[in-house]
Amino acid sequence: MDPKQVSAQEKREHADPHEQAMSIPIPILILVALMVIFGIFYILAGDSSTPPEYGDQRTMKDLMAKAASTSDSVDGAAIYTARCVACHQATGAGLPGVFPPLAGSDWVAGKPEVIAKIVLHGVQGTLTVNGTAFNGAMPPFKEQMNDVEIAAVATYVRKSWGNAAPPVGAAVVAAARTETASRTEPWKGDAELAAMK
Amino acid sequence: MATIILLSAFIISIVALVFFIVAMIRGWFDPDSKGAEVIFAANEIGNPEDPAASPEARKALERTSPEGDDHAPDPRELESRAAADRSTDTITFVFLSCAIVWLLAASFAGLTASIKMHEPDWLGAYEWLTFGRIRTLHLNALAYGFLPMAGLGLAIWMLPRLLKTTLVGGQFALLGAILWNAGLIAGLGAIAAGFSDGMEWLEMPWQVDILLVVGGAIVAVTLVLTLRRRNVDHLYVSVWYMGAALFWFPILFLVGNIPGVHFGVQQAAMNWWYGHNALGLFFTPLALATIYYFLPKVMGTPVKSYALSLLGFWTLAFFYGQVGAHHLIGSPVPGWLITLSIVQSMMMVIPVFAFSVNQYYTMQGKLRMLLHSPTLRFLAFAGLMYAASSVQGSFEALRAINTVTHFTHYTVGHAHLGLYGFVAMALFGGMYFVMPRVMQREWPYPKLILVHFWLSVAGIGIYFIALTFGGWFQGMAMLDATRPFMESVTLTLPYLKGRSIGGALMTLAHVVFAAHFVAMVLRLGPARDAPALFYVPKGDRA
Amino acid sequence: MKSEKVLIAGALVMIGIAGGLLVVIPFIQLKDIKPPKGLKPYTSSQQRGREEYIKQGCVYCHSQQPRDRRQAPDAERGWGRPSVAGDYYYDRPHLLGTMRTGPDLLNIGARQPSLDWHLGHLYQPRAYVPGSIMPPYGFLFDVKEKADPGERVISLPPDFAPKGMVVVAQPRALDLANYLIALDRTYPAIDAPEAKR
Repeated sequence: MDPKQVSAQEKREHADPHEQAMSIPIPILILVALMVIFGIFYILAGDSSTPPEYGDQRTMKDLMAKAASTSDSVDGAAIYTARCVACHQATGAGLPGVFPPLAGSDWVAGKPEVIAKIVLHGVQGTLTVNGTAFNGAMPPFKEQMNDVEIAAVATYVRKSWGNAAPPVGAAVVAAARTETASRTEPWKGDAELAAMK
Repeated sequence: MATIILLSAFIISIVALVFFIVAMIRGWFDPDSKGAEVIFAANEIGNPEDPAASPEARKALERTSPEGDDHAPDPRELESRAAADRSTDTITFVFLSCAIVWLLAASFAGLTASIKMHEPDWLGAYEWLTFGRIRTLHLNALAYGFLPMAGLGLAIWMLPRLLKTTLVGGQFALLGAILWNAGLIAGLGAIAAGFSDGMEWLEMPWQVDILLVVGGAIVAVTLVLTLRRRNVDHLYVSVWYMGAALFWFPILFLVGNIPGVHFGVQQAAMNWWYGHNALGLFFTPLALATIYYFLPKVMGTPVKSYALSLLGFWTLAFFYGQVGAHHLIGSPVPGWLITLSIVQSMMMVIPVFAFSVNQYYTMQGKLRMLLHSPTLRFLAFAGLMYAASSVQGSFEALRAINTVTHFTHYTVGHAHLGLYGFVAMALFGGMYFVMPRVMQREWPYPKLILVHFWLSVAGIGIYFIALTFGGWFQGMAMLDATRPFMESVTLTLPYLKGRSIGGALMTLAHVVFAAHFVAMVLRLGPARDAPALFYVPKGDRA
Repeated sequence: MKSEKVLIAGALVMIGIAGGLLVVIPFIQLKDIKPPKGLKPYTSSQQRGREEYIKQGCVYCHSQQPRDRRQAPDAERGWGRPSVAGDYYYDRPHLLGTMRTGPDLLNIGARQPSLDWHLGHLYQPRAYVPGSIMPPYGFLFDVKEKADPGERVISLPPDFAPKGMVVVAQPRALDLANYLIALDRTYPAIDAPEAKR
């Protein structure tokens, strides 16, 4: 098309916009001043105690190794929620065909050292729970939890969802840990555990 | 100690910024020190409506427009305008057509991702459609497809007009667009196939990014050449935003994508410096440039305050670049950086108010024009959403609020208010103005523009409200450790479904828009000789 | 504004300041960070699993950055202590994430060390977690009549198991699960001399 030709659309427009010289309204200047004051206060109020390599607002004692836990400070229910609930479920019923139930389980209610040993080393292979065979793998927790914690969670499991077995003491777990100290792999299901029951 | 360093840096930089802006307002940097002046052809006063109607309609409109009059435009001005338009129409057409294609692709990808959130097993067997990929395709098709194609297309169209010159080296821009789109296709294909750099906003493999860098640089060359051949003394505010955005984006993109430099937590800080600046220093300036040009243009009113324009521009340039770490509050990123980003996020209310007040003056007394002009309608909505989403974003950065909203759908709602309600709507408005000039043809079905507008508004409205409430409740649930985590998931389901409804409306709006675009390009439908207006005033109905 | 030089120079200064603050200074502050003693490098299988995590876009719904107790009860949820820069020593690219559509995963390996659970959950999240909205990753598994030797068969509840077939994990599913199990930053972040395990 002829570059000089002006289309109807172009002809009917307003002029291209321009700017007038009104100065900045006072309220805007006040806003600017207020925001700067806010910024100064916000920076002053900020937390400056955390070194940069630890991040934004850190509680330093949480970053350090915890002192060995004592039975007073350990909550079995919290440990269950953190470490067990995904497989065994909040109801303790497990998942049919996949993860065995803890509620009403003959293993849970049995001898305290057996539950301790299972939690310490985990299980691999067929395990019969209340007459139903499960073929799965439970991970060991001997590295993640100390004796007090294992005792607490075992105690919690033994008194929840209708279970009514006596508590497990940390000493029992400690004894089980020492007894099986040389063990490096999980219990081979019924094959090894049935005898202890 | 850290606090003192941070505080002094903050105060010094603010003082320097104030000094700089005052210097700009006073014109100390200009060769002659008049600063602001009226820069356009004296006799050229157009008609009061962008797609001005027949003479009768024009008369009717003038009643709403005190400054309207029937002076004939300066013929030299018209000639320069036509020359500018002829130099850009092919290139703008290519950019905007690509934008439409990416808009549709991104919309369907987004809708699919949204539905998958509440119907997780839907299409679950297709690996490339899994949520983590289709969501990413949605984001990348928008962020590197629709938004830059539309934004650059409009910038290329506006610049020669604003500089009273013709586009220099248009064929380069075309080549740049081809490389860019080729890169984007490769990048999206890579993401669909699972090749991702793994960081939000920076997913496309860096090998592909090279194509985008080269393509973008070639487009920038065109614009730099055009800028150097300008025939105006004064650079209009839109030019500042476009020029700076085109300069900022390559730097951001390059730093963000350099392989092998960034590590661990530092990479996270870089990631959000990039991610927020893609929005703040690229999409936002392009959209603001669009509003600053088309809103006064269509209204026929000048921008009232050059000083406010300067304040808005330079404070945006300074503060927006530093807000990125507000995406990392509570993270292992250094705390001083987080505090700085929160403060600068709050400071962002300054440019937002400067912009909003300036636009308010432009529109003052002429609000009735919003009834008629499609362009104005989209732009005014976009301007409002800019103010709303920015102020929301400022407060969202405060620790007290962020603790609730971080990690939730609330943030997603906010992001869409900004990128859709503001940026996309502004670009739609610009496209509705530009396409009739590019095609030298009117939009064939004005009603479809109205349909597009209301579907978009309803869509983003539902979307935003659903995610804002859903996200807030989700955040409150997560902060209460006595409630199981799953509760924070299940309670969002109705809101996620609401989001899909909003998303479906927006997608429908885009289908309507695309169909209208195609009809216009293929010259289908009625050949109208009057501009597309929403409500033609009485007297023009004949 | 009349000079494009002022415009471009000003724009350069602005982005330079921003980049200096958000990119360069953190780079300088954090570049010499050493990994904490308890952090192990990823094995090749775990690293491949990490790439699978990126491929499937897990980061869009899962963060890896527990917050401090002063800000949010992330630790109470069992997500672990607040993380520090050193915890990410081996992480390239970073996967901090910005969404918690699902839970934080920085310590998923500590609270969920069961490979079985991860595999089954990846195959069909709703089989193990009722109400989950996580996508199923069935394409990381093969459904066949009989598992070949050495293949890992996953256990599913009857409602979710394909009739008469077995589901076996592809190597990439195993890699991904291995990576998830490796996500365990429960060691102390600060190697204090008085720290005792």
